[in-house]
Amino acid sequence: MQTEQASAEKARAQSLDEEAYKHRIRLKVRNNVSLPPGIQGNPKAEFEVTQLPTGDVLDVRLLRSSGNPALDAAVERAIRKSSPLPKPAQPELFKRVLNLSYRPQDD
Amino acid sequence: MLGIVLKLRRFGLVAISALALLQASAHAQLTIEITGAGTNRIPVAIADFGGEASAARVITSVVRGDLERSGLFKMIDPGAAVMTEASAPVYEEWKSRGADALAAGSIGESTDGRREARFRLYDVTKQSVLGGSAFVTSKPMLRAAGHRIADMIYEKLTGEPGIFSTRVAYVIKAGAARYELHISDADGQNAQVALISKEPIISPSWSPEGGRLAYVSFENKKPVVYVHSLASGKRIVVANFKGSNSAPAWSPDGRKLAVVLSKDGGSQIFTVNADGSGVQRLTTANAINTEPNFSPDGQFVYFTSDRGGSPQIYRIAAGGGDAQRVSFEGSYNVTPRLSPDGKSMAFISRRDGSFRLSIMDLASRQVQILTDSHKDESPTFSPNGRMILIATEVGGRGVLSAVSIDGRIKQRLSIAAGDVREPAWGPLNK
Amino acid sequence: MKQLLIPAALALVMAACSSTPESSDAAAGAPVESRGGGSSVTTVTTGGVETGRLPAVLTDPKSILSRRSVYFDYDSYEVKAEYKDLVTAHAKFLTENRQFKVLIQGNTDERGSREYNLALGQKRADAIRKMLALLGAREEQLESVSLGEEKPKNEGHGEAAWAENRRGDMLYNGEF
Repeated sequence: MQTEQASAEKARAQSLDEEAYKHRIRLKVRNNVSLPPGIQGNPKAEFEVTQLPTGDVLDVRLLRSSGNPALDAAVERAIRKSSPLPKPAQPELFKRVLNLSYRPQDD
Repeated sequence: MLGIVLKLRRFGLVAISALALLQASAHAQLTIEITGAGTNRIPVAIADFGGEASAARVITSVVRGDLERSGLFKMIDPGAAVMTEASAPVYEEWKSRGADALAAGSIGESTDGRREARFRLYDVTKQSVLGGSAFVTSKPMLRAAGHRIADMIYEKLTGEPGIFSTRVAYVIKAGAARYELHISDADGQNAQVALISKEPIISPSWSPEGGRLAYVSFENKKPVVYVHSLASGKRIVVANFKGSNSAPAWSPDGRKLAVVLSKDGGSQIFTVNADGSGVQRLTTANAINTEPNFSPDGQFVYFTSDRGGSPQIYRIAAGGGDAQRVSFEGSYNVTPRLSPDGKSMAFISRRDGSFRLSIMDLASRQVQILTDSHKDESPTFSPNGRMILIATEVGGRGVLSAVSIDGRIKQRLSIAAGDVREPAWGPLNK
Repeated sequence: MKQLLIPAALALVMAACSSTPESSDAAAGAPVESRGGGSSVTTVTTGGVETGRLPAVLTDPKSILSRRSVYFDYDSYEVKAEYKDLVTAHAKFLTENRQFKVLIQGNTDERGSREYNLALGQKRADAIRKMLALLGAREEQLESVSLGEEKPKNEGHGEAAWAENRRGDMLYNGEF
């Protein structure tokens, strides 16, 4: 029982840390986005980002275009500009490959 | 009942296992969703152009001025670094200055001994070349070369065509009996006079290919519609019927004009060939019908009519038929102008006694008022659809103002002389 | 990522190295000749209109026919009763002098769209033309046109100025 509780707590803490990690990446990239003019609707662009343990961005790959090449380019620019990306509080939360999606507006 | 519970349970199981799968894959790769944006201006550095100093200064200042005035770019101080299109940029240095993009270039001699402006645009974050070009130019055309370079940078970084090499037409009232039709670059510089008259000139409208202007001149003590070829100065009378002739609007193919004639009584919209032949009546309602404007696909003519009691915007099929009302909010909506993509309409709406530039999304009929001024008139879209140029009044004087379609960017066009009115933005310079 | 080779000889044409289609557009880097004559503009000056002499009865300040203006109320396009005598006198002159023609110019105040005001001025001019025709003038003697807000008699911006500009004027041939 004891160990089970401890691991549940650890999982909870880990998921909180993971949320914080995602939040910091989200914030950094978001602040580096310069939206191109004339975006229609709220199109989504998806990227795969490969990073080093230092957070340095190695590669940015467009998985799914938003349909607006200028928007795709602006987001890619923002991701590269955010290098190095924030590091997680717990090193085991680090992921070499991130799946990053972007939309111009909250719903 | 039992059946439903069972089904639900089974569905629940399936849902859980699907979720588990999703979580598993989510753990393998961290998925982060981002919405919103930080600063909306793209930080860009334009290094001082190299080569002959005085010419280089003109080009550099035109490129910087164009990009800065568009409101979409933040100019990053390039420092004293001497760099041309031939230098290899030190990306780390430009990144630390905060630039996302960098342009560098020079003025030199072309192979045939003329001047040549060359430049190269770099993506600092990707550390790659975005594009570059060379323009052969003469000294008086240095500004034009600068506009071309700014257009290319704008298009590479925003994905839509730049409009810095386009031209605008407008009318200046230079005295009690002096009216001038001017053509200038989109930044208000390099103005040339197309027409001087003792009587008013209104409603200039560019032909789609950009070589001709249709307008209304009162030089014969009554409104008459002319088509004026700018390079030659040759003018032809397109409509001079008994009564008033006004409000010319080109069809997108440049073959026809919609005009307003009072020859049959009242003000009715007709179409006429660009040489003045083939007059055909379009509207029939016994009311004012004026300010026609073709939709970019040529299918519809939008216009102003008081058929419902107050001036409102309607549209009619270009071949005739029943008109449909387009504007509903407010008691005075006039001067419809369709955006180049045909999706929205700029117009002037009277709100609390003030005439304000407004824009309607035609699919949703949503209206947004874009200014807080009092006397906006004559809206005209930039050919990339990003800005709307209007005539308005500041301190009792007529000025031109460009407003972005989201209302965020407003710029005054720098035209010093007299009372400026009746702007018309020309097509893209191809 | 596709690598585009840039020949050294083509130093002035710079292509991009990227996988996105827009920047691999090498044609965008081709030299472009600046347009020379295409953007030049030739200045034209319009000719004026010759004005001739009119008979004294039309210009003598003591003659009712020297008065040519009909004023309208705000948002109104009807000839008011006080101008009935004036319009009747001009109709009589035109009936007795068939060689004369009249150009009726409608005007509005400055508020609102120029072209819409042109249409409103046309309604004022048409109202005067219809009354002249009703009182005996022939249609071929009459032309009603609009100057909209373009030729204000009073350049001011208050109600007093606007009232002066809501107007129809009658011009005889020789005056236009």
